[in-house]
Amino acid sequence: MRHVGLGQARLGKVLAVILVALAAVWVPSAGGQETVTLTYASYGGALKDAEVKAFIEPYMKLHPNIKVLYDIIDRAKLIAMVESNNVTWDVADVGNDFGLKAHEKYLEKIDCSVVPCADLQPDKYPTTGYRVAWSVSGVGLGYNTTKMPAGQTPQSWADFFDLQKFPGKRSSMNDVSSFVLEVALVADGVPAGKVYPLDIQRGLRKWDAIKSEVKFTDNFQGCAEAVATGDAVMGLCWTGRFATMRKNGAPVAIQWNGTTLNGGYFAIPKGSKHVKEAMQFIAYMVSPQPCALISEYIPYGCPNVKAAAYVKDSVKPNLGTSHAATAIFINDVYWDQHRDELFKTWQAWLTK
Amino acid sequence: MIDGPGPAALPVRARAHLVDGWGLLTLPGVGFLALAFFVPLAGMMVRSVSDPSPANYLAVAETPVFLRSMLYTFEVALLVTLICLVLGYPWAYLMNQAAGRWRWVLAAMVVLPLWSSLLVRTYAWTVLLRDSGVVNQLLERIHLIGQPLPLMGNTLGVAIGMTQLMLPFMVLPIFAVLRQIDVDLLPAAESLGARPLAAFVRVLWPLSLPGVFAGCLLVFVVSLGFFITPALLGSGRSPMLSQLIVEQTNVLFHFGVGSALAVVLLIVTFAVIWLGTRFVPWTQALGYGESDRA
Repeated sequence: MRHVGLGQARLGKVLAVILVALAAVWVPSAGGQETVTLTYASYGGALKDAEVKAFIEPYMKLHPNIKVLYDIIDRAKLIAMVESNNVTWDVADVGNDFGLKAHEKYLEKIDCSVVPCADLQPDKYPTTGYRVAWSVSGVGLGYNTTKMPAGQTPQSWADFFDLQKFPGKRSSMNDVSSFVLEVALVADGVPAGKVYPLDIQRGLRKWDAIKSEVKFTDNFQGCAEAVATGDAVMGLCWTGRFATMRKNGAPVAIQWNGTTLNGGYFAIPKGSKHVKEAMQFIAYMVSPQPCALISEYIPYGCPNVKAAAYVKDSVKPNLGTSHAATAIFINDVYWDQHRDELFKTWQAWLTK
Repeated sequence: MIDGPGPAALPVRARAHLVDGWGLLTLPGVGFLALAFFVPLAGMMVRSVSDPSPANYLAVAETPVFLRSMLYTFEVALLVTLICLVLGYPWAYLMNQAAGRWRWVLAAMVVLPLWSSLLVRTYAWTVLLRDSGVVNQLLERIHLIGQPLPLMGNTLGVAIGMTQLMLPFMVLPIFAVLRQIDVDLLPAAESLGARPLAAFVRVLWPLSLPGVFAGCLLVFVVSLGFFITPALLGSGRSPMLSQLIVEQTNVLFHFGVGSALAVVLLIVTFAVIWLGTRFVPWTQALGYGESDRA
């Protein structure tokens, strides 16, 4: 019998050690549960930081067998995924213009015995059962505090459209889905609760008066930045940007009277491989405490009526929901039915 | 103008070379292109007539915004191409004339920006060009202007931003061709009595035409599809077609109309290029004829 050489014996020992080490790593976790990986798709950037701190990390701590991966949302991609039967997302943050009747066929039905649907104010943040409201934000009037006429600050949208009282350029989002028409109607005297159905021509006439003095931009950051740098004295932009710039020291203030409010929504793409776990994750995120927690990291409100008790007093002034009394609530159902017409009409006016 | 024989006049020996040995090496590349590019392109064309119907093209034709945007897109692409040519040709010429180390410096100045993010460079332009930006502040401080100049939020801003991004694509093809031109040709022309300008127009320019054509084609076609720069530096009131296509597919989820717009852009682009070939001897520009005569 050939004796095993020293080199071969050593090799044998090394292999044995490696195998034991691998076995130790691959031993299933305590409890013997399999790890479920959920993919969460949202907008990235500052929102990602907030979502990770308020939702993802706490949830993964509570449920060690759940792993949450982050991806960037793209609704067209979601539709393509469902159509080609290759769904890799489990929870998608879809925005208020998605998930109503027109998109039900791409989404899983929400199980309201798991998700607290009734607490989420469905009268203000509409859903047909395929999406769940989780955040509240909107556009508002921001102004540069160093560029205001002596002793005056804008009190309402009417001042945004008043070039005599407040001379200077305006900054505005250039798309109709930033509620430029709702705002114009309120500025023209329509009560905030009565703007729907939108009188498009009346809104456009209001914009005609200031069109030449407006810098239209299609990105959230640029809109607010124009006000912060003083290139524009007032801006019609998403309030989250104004609030963050103000926190960072820019001479920007927000006139909350007439701010628009709309929900952000979670949905589960049809064909997701972990519908049950996704539903439970959504239920966690919209429950009062985690939902209120997001307001500390990003200026979004929470639609859950029970969350108000948990929102820190220090962040309340920056949230649109704190100013709901004078706010314009966006009617998503109206939008779902008239979106194409609104886009076409506004764009024809804008590019003339 | 120097004329060369067209592809039909290729000697038989050259034609036989296309399908053996070296030609087969292109198969993996062509295969990849077919799968990753041509198949989705075909899918998009099918979608433009099937989602929901060829009425998509009617929608494109009947909407003035789309037609205006298409015209504006071609205008901007043409403008950027011309500016790049006027700035890029002298740069390539300088690079060609420069000795050793300086050639690298000039090349680096043009190529290095390519390695940084397009988005970052475009944002940097907003810091320079906006009303309260560096350029306006400088001009106001030295009292050259009283009011800030509108340098962005219009076609000027878009042109500036896109020119910086597209310049390497003009300089490098022209430089590549200039390098191959015999250095003695210009002095020879001058010794025969040509003044410098005439020597350039009648000797150097025609020989560099392949590079010019390649550069212009590259810059023009890439400029047509630009999205980020017009979105950040342009005005929301003059969208380029790419912005409208994105709006149709990503905001309104009208995949059919978006596809139709894209197909129309493709067809019009081919038409414009075809028109260009009526004025430029493209077969000679692409290098046919000369080197194939073995």
